[in-house]
Amino acid sequence: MPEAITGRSGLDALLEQARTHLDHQRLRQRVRLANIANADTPGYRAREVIESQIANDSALTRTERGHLGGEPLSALTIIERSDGQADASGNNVELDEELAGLAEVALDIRVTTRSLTNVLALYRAAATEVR
Amino acid sequence: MEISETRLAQQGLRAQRLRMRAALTNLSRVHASAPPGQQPPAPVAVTVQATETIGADGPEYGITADMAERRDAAPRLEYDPSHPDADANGMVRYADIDPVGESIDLMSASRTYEATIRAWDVVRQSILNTLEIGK
Repeated sequence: MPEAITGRSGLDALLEQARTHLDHQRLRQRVRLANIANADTPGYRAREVIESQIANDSALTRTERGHLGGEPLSALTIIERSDGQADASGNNVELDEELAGLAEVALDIRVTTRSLTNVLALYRAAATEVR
Repeated sequence: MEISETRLAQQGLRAQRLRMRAALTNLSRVHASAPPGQQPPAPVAVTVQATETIGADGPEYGITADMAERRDAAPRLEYDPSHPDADANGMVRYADIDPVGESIDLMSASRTYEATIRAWDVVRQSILNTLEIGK
């Protein structure tokens, strides 16, 4: 069994990680939706969520088995894109790319929620089948 | 509970609907003329603007759209002496509307309208998926 889900603290860490991930994905979807809704708003510049990784020092000081160590922390920034074919007004939204990106994030959210449900089912089984 | 994506989609759809309405209004007035001394109907124009505010959970995006008559538009003159609205020189004054431009605007607005509906449906599905965690 993966180390991350062997104890209560492991489940907490896993849920926290999933929550952060889903928050990030929701922000990505929101930005994509804004781009699509502004596909021909004059002068609108497409926005993009970029993730920058920050080295996590806790990997070196991991003292307990249940801890999630070595996972890089990440920070999200929203930037205005300067690439892409801009129209006469300066709008550079690429509609097909935005729709594809939105679908990709939706798939990732589906995978995350499904996996989380499966993990929770394992915990539920462990908690109930001893009776 | 307010979902900022709902508001964004709704504002986006409204903006495109206004653009479609403006284009249709203008197209219906392409051949509207005015007798000498009167003004032909003014074309309408929609201004669309993206807005961005910082909300409790991240940036919130929105779109504002306003429809107004273009007062600055000068009438388009055409020579047609047999027209009842022709002046002494045989010129008829029509509303200043470019039917090709309006048709293109109509197409692009309806394309963005559909894309917004589609995108909103994907986002909605994702929100529903997160409700199924643990089921």
